[in-house]
Amino acid sequence: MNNLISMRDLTKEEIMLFMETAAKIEKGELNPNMERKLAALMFYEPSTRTHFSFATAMKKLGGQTITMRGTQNSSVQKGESFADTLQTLAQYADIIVLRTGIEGSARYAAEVVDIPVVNAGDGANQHPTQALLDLYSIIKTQGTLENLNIGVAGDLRFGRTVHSLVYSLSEFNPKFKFISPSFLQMPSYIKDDLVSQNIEFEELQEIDQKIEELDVLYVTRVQRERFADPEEYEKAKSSYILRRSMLAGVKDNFRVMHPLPRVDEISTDVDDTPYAYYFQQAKNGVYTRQAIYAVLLGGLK
Amino acid sequence: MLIKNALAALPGGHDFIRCDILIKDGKIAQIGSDLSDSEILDVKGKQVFPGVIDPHVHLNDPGFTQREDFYTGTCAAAAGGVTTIIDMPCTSLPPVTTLQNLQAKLREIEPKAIVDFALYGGISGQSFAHCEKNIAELSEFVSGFKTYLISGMDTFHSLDHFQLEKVLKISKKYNRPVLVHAEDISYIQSAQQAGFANSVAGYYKTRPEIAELLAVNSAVALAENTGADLHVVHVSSAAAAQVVANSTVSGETAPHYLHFDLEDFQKIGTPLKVTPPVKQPGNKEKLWQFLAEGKLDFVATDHAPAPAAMKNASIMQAYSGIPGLETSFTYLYNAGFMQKKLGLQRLLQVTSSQAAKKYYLKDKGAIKVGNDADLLIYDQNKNWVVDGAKFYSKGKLTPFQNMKFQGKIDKTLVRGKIVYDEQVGILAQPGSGRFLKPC
Repeated sequence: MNNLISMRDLTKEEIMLFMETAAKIEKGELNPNMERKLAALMFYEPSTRTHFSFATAMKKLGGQTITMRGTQNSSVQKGESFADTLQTLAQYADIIVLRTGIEGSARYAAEVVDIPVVNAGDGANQHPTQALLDLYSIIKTQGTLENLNIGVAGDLRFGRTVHSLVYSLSEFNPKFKFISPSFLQMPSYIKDDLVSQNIEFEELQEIDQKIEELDVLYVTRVQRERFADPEEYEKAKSSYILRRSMLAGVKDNFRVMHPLPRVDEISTDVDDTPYAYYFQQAKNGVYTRQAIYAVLLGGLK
Repeated sequence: MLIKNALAALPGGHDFIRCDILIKDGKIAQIGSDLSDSEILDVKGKQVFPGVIDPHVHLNDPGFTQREDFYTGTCAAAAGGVTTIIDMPCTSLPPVTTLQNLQAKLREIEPKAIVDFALYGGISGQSFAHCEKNIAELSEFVSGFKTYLISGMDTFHSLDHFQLEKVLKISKKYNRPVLVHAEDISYIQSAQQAGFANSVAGYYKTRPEIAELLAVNSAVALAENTGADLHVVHVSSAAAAQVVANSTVSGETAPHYLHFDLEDFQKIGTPLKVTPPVKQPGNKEKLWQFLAEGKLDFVATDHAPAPAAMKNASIMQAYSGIPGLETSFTYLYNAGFMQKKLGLQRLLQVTSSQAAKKYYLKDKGAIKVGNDADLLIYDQNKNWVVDGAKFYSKGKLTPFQNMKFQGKIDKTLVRGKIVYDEQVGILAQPGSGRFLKPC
């Protein structure tokens, strides 16, 4: 594997390689040595968490990072092309981690440079490292990715994170419950894909409707801007807030996940239940990104 | 031929897909990885888009070839990544108002075209009396019928509301859209006699936002009453776009309305004189928004060039119209896609697939197996500064003069043949472009 651009490029075996590598690193069974490695973190769009997570992961492996933020104070402001900026950074660094707002730019970058490129989010397109850390969180809590009952709640229409997650899990025979207001439902092209792969899903309107059947509930934010009418938002909002009182009948292995930041879609009284997993999930992001560096920079031995 | 190592913008995705595209007999035969063929075009590191479809151009041939002819106009198209154009019926002599005129035009233009083309028929004030017969005879050959609610052309007069209603009803029977230039004639004619100064501000006052809004409201009412397929060309203001958005009617806008406003017009002068004129600041942002949201259907250039001599006149006398074919895609790529106003899919829709669908263009509008291999190869790593003097069009004055773009059109392919190469120039023989009947 030379790059990590899109979950759709990955085979099931490649996904499992990332999972196993992350697990070994977490348990201390694998210590990839990145002492002489330098990651260039090119963040054309702000993302504090993703940036911290990539920087932390490299530093924990003994490597270094350099960061370019936005286009301020850089040669991009002077009219240097994106390709030239990439080429130049590729002379310094061993790997490029790229975040932009422009769809397809990560794949373009991978064409331009000879060193590995990791897509840390390109516009409405893909965010594969988030998907991998979500999968790692699922496998850690459930012991497997196969045959799980997964609820996905919130803005399913525009949420790139949930689209990536649904695509990546579809290799593993899941059953989905899609929970959202009717106008923020999963896009039909994704549902059509699921139908063609014989993957079961149902669409629900209340977050606790079939919560007792779930292994994982993945909650995302419903943004106020999506609602034409503020009253509609206030009304709809309460249907998508997860509260402690809803957790009475859930399975023991049930876990609540969230890509963070949370606003109020998970009530804070859920935080100290055994089902809350979102903060550990963020920690898993570091193991996953360590695994990504290890796989792409030859650190598996 | 095999296009090797393409980063292709395929329909439906949010990403370019690294693939090879195999072309056989002018069609896309296969899209995959590691394909092979005896003839290879390696495009590594370059993006491949479906060829642009520009459904609103005035190539002026025959009759007004001092402004453009079908060879120079289709060369301009090729250089702009445009692989199909639809030519307007009004700016040629004779105008395309009868089947006989259409045949005469085809005889003149077919030997000159280097990209594929379709034609509109037109219903003018002069030809209205015979519209029933003309629409019946022309429908097989034309993509729609162009009409004006106000016209500055002696050879192609406008229609009134009663006449437009009748044209809508008849076109509906033949399943063809009616296109309308919508500005209000009574408002504008009075304003033209009001004695405004011969200046940009004076010209604008004869055709402000309200003149467009009045006409779009009327046209939409007529369309919705008749249930006909109406399309509003070159929407230039936010208010008119809002009416289109809330109606069953479709609409297009042009790059110049997305980029310029009245303040720019004051600075640039006649090289930005278009009809309808660009509007007050604040409109263009909303036009972008409507375009992004799908409330305006696509972008067309209204390419209407003229030699500098016709543009270098006072604002009231100067020719109204600008060349657009050679800058439209690169502009939309930079100002739309790179500025995140349009996602990749929306870029494909507004430059190609929506017009293919609207105007019944068979096997056009997307990179997919079975379609014509109409492709635009884009080199994102070349910078380009617009210089109208280098245009293939006879219109050399452009309001986009000196604009800096990231990326440049590297090659344009029509049905698998390279018709334009940035290094070499035009590579197609006149007459290689095909006339497209609607399917």
